[in-house]
Amino acid sequence: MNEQRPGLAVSSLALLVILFLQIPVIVVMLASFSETSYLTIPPQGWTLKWFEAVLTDRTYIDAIKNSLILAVGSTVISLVLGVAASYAIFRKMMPGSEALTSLLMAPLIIPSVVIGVALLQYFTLVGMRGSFFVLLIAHVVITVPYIVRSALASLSGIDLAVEEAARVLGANGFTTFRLVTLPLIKPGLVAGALFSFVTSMENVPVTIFLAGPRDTTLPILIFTSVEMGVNPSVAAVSTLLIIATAAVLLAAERWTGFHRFV
Amino acid sequence: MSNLSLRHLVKRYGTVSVVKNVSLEIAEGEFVSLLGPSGCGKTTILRMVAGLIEPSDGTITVGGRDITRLPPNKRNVGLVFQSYALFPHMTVFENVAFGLRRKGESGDGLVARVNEALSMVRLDGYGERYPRQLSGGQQQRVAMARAIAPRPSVLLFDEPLSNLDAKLRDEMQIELKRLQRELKITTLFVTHDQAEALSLSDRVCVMHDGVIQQFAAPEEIYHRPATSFVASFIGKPNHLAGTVKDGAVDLGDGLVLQSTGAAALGEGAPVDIFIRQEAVTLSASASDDGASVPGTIVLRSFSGAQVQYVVRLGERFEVVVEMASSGEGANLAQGDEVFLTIRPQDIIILGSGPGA
Repeated sequence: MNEQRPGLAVSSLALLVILFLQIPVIVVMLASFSETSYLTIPPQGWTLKWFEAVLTDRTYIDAIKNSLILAVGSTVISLVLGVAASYAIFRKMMPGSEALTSLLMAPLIIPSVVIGVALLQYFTLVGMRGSFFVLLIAHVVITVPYIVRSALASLSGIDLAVEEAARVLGANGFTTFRLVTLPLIKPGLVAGALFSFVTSMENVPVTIFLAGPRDTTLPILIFTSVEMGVNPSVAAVSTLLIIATAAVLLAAERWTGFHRFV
Repeated sequence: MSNLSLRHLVKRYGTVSVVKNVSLEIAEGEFVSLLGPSGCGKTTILRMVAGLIEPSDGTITVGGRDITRLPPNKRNVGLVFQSYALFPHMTVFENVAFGLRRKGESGDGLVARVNEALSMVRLDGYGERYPRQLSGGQQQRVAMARAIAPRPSVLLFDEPLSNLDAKLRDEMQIELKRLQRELKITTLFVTHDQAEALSLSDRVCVMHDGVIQQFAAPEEIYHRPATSFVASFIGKPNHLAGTVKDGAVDLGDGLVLQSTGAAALGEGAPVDIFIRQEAVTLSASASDDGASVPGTIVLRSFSGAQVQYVVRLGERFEVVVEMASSGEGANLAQGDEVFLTIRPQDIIILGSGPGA
């Protein structure tokens, strides 16, 4: 078979699909600049007042703050737990590693709504419902699979002899992990952490069951705002979210070339 | 003192024993090779000495200190891996410094010792490079520098030269021997390459199936193998079988070979004999002392310094004979009737059959 550049038809089709997929994003971004107090396309006039409205509104600021704390917190906890679990699984330190892997990865497959309902029932039963801590635990549950997946993939790329070399050269188990294993799996972990962060940041179905009135996150706020009647400040906050996400992804790609690990 | 001693070492995986009651005494500064085919247990022994595998039974001591149950980081051994196992995210300097830092070395002392180690393997000035920027041979040197820098009491090599091409391997062999002589570190070298083992070692330990077959100086291993396995594993000797008759070996078909050791095995005993390719002389006429047997050349092949012949002996045997291509007997042709002369002391003779 001879290698060929895709023909005109295939290229146009691909371009069309990409455009189609991006239309909602473009629509939201355009709408956020409209002067009207309802969402409309094309925007009527140009203004930044909706951005100003969002950034001066306590409700939005608190929600953004909550979301960031939650996303950073759950990612850090997931990193610690996920990497430790992956290492134990990978080195076959205990029986049943396959089963454990499936268990840790399960939240990827189980519908989020089901996880939400299940956690709500569980925390109600143990009388912990409605606290921020509960929300944090829930987000760890849904973000840990991303860490485990990337950690396992990265670990499988390491020559076991490299760790043995460190041990023989006088490093104890922890030092070996810190100085040799961890630096070698870092690019993969950065990728996993990004997915974890984004997953926590955008989650609605689990959060909505568990968030108390004072713990509203940004996606929940957007969701409820839209229910009450759409105004362009929702579009403005969405635009901010899109820009922030794109910036983080670009930076991470520059930093680690993480697309290799996705 | 850092003599290495293994006593009754056993490693079992389930019901399978890969190392069966191995005892080995290696003197301080001695270079010993563990030689054997893959699966003979040699690497398992090495890894037990390094602390990477726990023995099922037995003890390992270095300089009288029992290290059998110590973790690898408390053993003060150096290990050079087959895959080199350099730390890819560290510079050459940091690789070599790794073991020294773990011993609390820092500052000028650290720099001096790293540079000393790099200079011993002739890699001065390579400190700032990363392993991926080096050739295979250079990576090998870094691995050696890294192992010797902390001045281990025992140095272990796990087939360190098997990933290098032939020319580089010869160079590194010489380098390695020079280095070991200079440092006088007790060394255990695992290899399946007999030439490597024979040329590097003070003593060679031939292993098969988890058991020591023979532990002796290279010359003795080569000329006086203790078991059939050693005889057939070392070199590419011709293997013939016969019985002892009148103090000589009767191969049947009227072929009788004089052999020094034959009488000791007893009249009528079945024996295996091994004849090195270079121990045979071919000539057109029989020798006077009756120590030669007749044969027919069935194949001749020229390989530069040597000429190899395949010679048919009677109905049952073919032997390979190697002659210097510059000497007499280099110009025999296929189909020639020749006489094979083998000095009686050059025939390796071992009792065969049950109990041997």
